[in-house]
Amino acid sequence: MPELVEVRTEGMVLNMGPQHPSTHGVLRLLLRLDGEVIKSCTPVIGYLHRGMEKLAEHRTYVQYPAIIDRFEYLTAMFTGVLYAMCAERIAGIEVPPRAIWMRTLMLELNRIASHLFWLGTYLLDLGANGLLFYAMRDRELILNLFEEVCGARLLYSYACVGGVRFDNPPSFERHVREFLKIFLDRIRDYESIVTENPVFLERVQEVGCYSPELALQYAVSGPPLRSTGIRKDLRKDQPYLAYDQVDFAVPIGTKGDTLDRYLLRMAEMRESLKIVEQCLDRLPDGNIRVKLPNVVKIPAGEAYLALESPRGEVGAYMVANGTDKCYRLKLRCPSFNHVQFLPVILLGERISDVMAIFGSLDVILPEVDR
Amino acid sequence: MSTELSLTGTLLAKAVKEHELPLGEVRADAAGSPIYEVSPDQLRAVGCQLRDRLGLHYLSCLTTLEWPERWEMVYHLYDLARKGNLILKASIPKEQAVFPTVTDIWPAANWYERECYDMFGVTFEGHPQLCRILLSDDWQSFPLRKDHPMDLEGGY
Repeated sequence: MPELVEVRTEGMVLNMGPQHPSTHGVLRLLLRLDGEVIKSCTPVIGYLHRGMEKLAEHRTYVQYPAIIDRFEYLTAMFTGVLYAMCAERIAGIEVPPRAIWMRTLMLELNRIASHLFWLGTYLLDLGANGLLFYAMRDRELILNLFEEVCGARLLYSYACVGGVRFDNPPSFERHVREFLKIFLDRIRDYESIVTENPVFLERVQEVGCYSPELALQYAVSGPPLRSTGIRKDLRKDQPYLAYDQVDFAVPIGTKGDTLDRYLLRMAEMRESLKIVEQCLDRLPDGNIRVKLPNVVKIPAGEAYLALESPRGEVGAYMVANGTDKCYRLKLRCPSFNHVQFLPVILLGERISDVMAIFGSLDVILPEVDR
Repeated sequence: MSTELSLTGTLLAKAVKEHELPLGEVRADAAGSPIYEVSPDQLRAVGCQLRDRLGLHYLSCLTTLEWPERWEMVYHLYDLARKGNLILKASIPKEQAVFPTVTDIWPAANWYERECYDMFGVTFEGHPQLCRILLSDDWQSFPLRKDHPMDLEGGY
C-alpha cells in the first residue's frame, strides 16, 4: 500500500502595483493569497505625497487655490470651491448670488466629467476597451465648456476667495444647452452598451457587497455608501451654494454591490444634468466676486466644511489666525477612507475581482496621498 | 463671522445636554458646529458614549493641531440623523505627545491616527499598528511641525 503523503499548499504574497494600469495613480496592494482567494490585503500609499497641507501654511489665500487644484485633478472645481468657501465662512464674506450659481453649475458639470472618466476607465479595468473612447469623447465636450470659461481644461483655478475669477462668455449658455441635449442621448447609449450587457452584469453582480454598518464604521461616503441604501448626500443634508434651491433626487442602491455603484453613478449623471439646466435658467446677473484687498487676510477662527464630490465627502478643516496664510489646513478626502476600507471588503474575494471592486470605489490616488 | 451655533448645531448641543455627557461648555466654530473640550483621560469614555448613546458612528475627520505649548487632537463626528458635525477637542502639553487611540471606537480613525503620527510625531496609546503611512519608513522628521523647514536644504 502506498504511503500517504500530506499535500500542503503555501500561501503566496503578490504585489499589485505600485505601477499597475488599474490603480489610477500609484498604489501598491500587498495581497496574501491562498490559491485565488485573498487572505489579507495591505495597501501601501504615499507614492504621490506632495505635502499639500504644509504648502497651505506657507502660501497665501490668493496663491493657494492654484495649488489645491492639483489635490484632486479630476474634480479640480470641487477642491477650489471648498477652499474658498472655508476662508469665506471664517471671514464672513458674502459671495454674490451670481458666483454662487456659477459655482453650482461648474460643480455639476465637473461631476459629470468625473463620472464619465470613471465609467470609461472602470470598463477598461474590466476588460471592455471600447467604452473608454465614447466616455472620453463626451468628457471632451465638458472640458471644452470649461476651457471656454477658464481657459484651462483640467486645472481651472476657477474659484477664488470672494467669488469666481471668470465670468461666462456670451456663447457659454448656448453651448451648455447644446451639451445637455446631446448628453441625454449619450447616457442612453451607455446604458444600452453597458447596463444591458450580460457579460458586464455577470462580472459585477453580487461582487464586493458590504453592509451599511460596516461602511459607516469606516466613514465611507459618496456612491460607495449610498449603494448600501443610506441616503447621505451633503448636497441635501447640509445644503451649500444653491443646492437648497434646485430640485434633484439622491439615488440610492439596495444591495451594496458593484453593480449598484455603477447604476448609482449613471443615475447621478442624469440628476446633475437637471441641476445644470436649473442653474442656467436661474443664473442671476451681477458681480462675480466681491472686491477684496490685494492681500487677503482671514481673521482668527476655524471651520470644517465638506462638499459632496463625485467620490464622496471631500472636506477641509481650516484654522486661520488673522494673517494672509492659514495656520493649518487639513484636507479630508473620501478616497483615503475608501482605500482604508479596501482590505475589509477584499477579504475572501477572488483575485480576479480585486480590480472590479477597487475600481467601483472610484479611488483616485493623488487625493489619498495629498 | 458666525460664531453662533447653527440649527443642527443647537440640536446636537441639546442632545449632549439631555444625555448628561461629561462635556464642558459648548463653543461654535465658523460653520456653526458645536465644539467640546475633553480631557485626554476621558476621551475614550466620552467617545464611547457619543457613539453608543448619541449614535455618532461616523468619524468624518481627525487631525492634530500644533500650538506653541500644546498638542490638540480634533475629532469631527458626523451625526447622520441630525445631519450636523460635532467637534471634540483634547489637548496635552507639548512634551507628552501621547494620546489614547480611538481606533477601536471608530475604525476609520486607524489611518488618520497613523497620519498624525507620520506628520506630527504624536503617538497613540493602544493603536494596532502605528507606523509611517504617507512618508517612507526610513523618514526621520515630522514635516507638519511648525519648526520643520519648508525645503530640505537645511537638512531634516
